[in-house]
Amino acid sequence: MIRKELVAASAEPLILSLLSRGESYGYAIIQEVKARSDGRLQWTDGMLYPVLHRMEHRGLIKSRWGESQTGRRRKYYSLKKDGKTAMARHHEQWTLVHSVLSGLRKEQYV
Amino acid sequence: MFDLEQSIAEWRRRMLAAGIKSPVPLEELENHLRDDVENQIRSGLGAQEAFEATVRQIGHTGALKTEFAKVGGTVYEQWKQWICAVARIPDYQLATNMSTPPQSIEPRWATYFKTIAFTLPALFLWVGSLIFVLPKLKDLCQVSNTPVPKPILTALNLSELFKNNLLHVCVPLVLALVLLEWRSRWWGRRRRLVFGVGAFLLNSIVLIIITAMLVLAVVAGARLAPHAR
Repeated sequence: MIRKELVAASAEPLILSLLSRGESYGYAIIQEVKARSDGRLQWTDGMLYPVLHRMEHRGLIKSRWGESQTGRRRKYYSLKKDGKTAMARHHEQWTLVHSVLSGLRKEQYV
Repeated sequence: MFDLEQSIAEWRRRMLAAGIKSPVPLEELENHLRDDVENQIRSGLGAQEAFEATVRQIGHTGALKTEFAKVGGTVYEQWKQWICAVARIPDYQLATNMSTPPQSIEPRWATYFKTIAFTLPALFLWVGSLIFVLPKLKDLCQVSNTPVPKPILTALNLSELFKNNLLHVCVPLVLALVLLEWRSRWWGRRRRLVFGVGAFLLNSIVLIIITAMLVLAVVAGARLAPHAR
């Protein structure tokens, strides 16, 4: 299992990256993260919503109420301009961490 | 017979009682609950199992309420966030609650081992003091004519009753544990809490009784001292 601190820290960049592909809703975001990580990155489902609301409050994403195919009301989220900037910043930082880690790992095998 | 709609209505009431506001975010959470239950039923789970699993997965109402309160919430929350940001304190509440909880359930053997380790010394001390110290203390009180306060007398008498009926107490307790381990679905998540509270209570009781015996012995001894001279 992935450390809980890492799970919490990666929530925002993951949500931003997923929404950059188009609008989505809470349940779909969770399912997508689960599927892409082969079930290893699992969130406490309810905790996603306060994160989404906080990101909306900070102006990174926006939401609208729509309807699902079954007629159920759903809150769809999409990326705002500030969200795109935040996503780029996240990518830059995570790439930096990744490259430092990979470099150190390579040195171990030299 | 399990009624999904009724269970969802009860869940809604619990969330409202815990302070999750309606329509937002409660409606959003309820839609999530319905989506997940439907999905799990489609993959072959029974309605009740699917509902219980989803409710577990959604997380603790208390933690959810705290997180929702942070969303541009009260002045107190804004201050707390500002202080945490200035002090560079990361969001521990989120770090603790964001990952799924099932893995945090302590293994059964660990809970039993810890409970035994924390209760056995107290139990030995208690039973030992009842067998070896109490009769002598009673003699001492009688000889020195020391009146034993009623609460202490009741506690000592109850302790003795427990010692004399040790088997009658332990057998039902063990049977209840076997039944809980065997049949109960909620026991796994509450085992550690129940054992923890039990061990704390037992240790507290033993500490109080032994202190009372000690005080009584000192008082009786002091009353006896002038006679000895």
